[in-house]
Amino acid sequence: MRRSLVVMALLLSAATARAQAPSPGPIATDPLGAGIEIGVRAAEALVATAAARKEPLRTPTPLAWKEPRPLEVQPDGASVDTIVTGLYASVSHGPEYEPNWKRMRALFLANAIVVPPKRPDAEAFAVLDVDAFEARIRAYIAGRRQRREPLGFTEREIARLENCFGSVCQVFSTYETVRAPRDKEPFARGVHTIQIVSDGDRWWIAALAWDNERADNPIPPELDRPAIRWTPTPLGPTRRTP
Amino acid sequence: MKRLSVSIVLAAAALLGAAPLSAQNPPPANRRPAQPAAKRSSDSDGASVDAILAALYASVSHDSATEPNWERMRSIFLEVGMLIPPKNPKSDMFTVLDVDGFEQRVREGMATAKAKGDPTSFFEREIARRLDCFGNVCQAFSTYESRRAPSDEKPFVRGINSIQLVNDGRRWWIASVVWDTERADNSIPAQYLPNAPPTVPAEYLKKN
Repeated sequence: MRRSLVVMALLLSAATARAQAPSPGPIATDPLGAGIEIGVRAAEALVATAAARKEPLRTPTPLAWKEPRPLEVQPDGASVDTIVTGLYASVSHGPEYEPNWKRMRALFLANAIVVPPKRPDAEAFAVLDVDAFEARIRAYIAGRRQRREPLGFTEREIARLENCFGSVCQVFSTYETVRAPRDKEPFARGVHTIQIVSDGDRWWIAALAWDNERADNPIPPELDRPAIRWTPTPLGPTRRTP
Repeated sequence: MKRLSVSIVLAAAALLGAAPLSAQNPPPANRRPAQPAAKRSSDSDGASVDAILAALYASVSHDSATEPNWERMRSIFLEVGMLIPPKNPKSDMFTVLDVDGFEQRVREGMATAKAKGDPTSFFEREIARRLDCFGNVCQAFSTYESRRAPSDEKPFVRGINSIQLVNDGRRWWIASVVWDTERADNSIPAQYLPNAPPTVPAEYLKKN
């Protein structure tokens, strides 16, 4: 009984407040009607603006819009350069984040294969599809997090060789990997070989394989940074100019 | 030690066959889930990049009485290795094939040719190669010519195979083969033909 009286009192005071201060009262004083009030005010503002300009109200015309291809993120498929850039950009991530899976997956053909270097103790190559590639990276991040090792992963392309013919390209892409974009010394380097195909509308990654630099497997000068033949496309905001 | 070598090599005349391009486009093969390649008997075809590319061209080539050597071809591909023929202009997406799917496609193509009375023999050979290698991975840009008979003066088709190769420490494997064919509007650039001059990127010349 007492509780319902309190509620009634609250409602009454809210209604009074609204009546006394119709605009632009603090919405917080009217929690029950806030949503409606915002809508009403927006509409009023719109009408007022139109009236001030002496224009009739118009419904905005949607921009011409093309049905996206099966996987969105079209721009990454626009050229060999953008798809390679998209690969590095999507796999790189800050310590609090994971790779941009949606962007990464949109680069690959549905049946693409990913062949990481064979583990020394493994009998054979573990050939991955894109699902397994994603799972592998997630497991790597989870493992590091559990061991409280530094997180974050930025991979940059430092040199590239391209062979292209018709709808087929193969790219030999030298990379270096750092934890944070500002790090100077990479903790890993290596070379990706990336097979890229065009369906006439966009490029797709068909196959990705790589090997890491090791003491007995140094990156030769032709593929190393000093031999860089052009400035690689910046990898978004994380890339510094060399 | 395996070192990178960027060279254009005139290949020894390995016989080859690219896929007869059948008009129909089989549905995408259901690829096997990713799994480690089973250990297979060590194969001299995997001994070197030269050997495995020669084996690829040799295994796909065949006369009119025979088919490509599927066993040999299977033995040079990773278990989940794949082949991607040029996209059929009429289809929406690429057909990605494993060796099984490729075998099926070639058989269908041969059956169609046989029904029409067209020749089914196929001899493909490499005429130039650009090879990039680092450690256990290589990519070959392998220019090919296809003939109906090895003695034919002119090939009926030319093109380039892009071949991704990996080494497991014991031998080389083919991970992926993708190709495109030469057409009127898609001629093979001089740098991928025999006796091509060494290519130095223009940007490099500018800087140096």
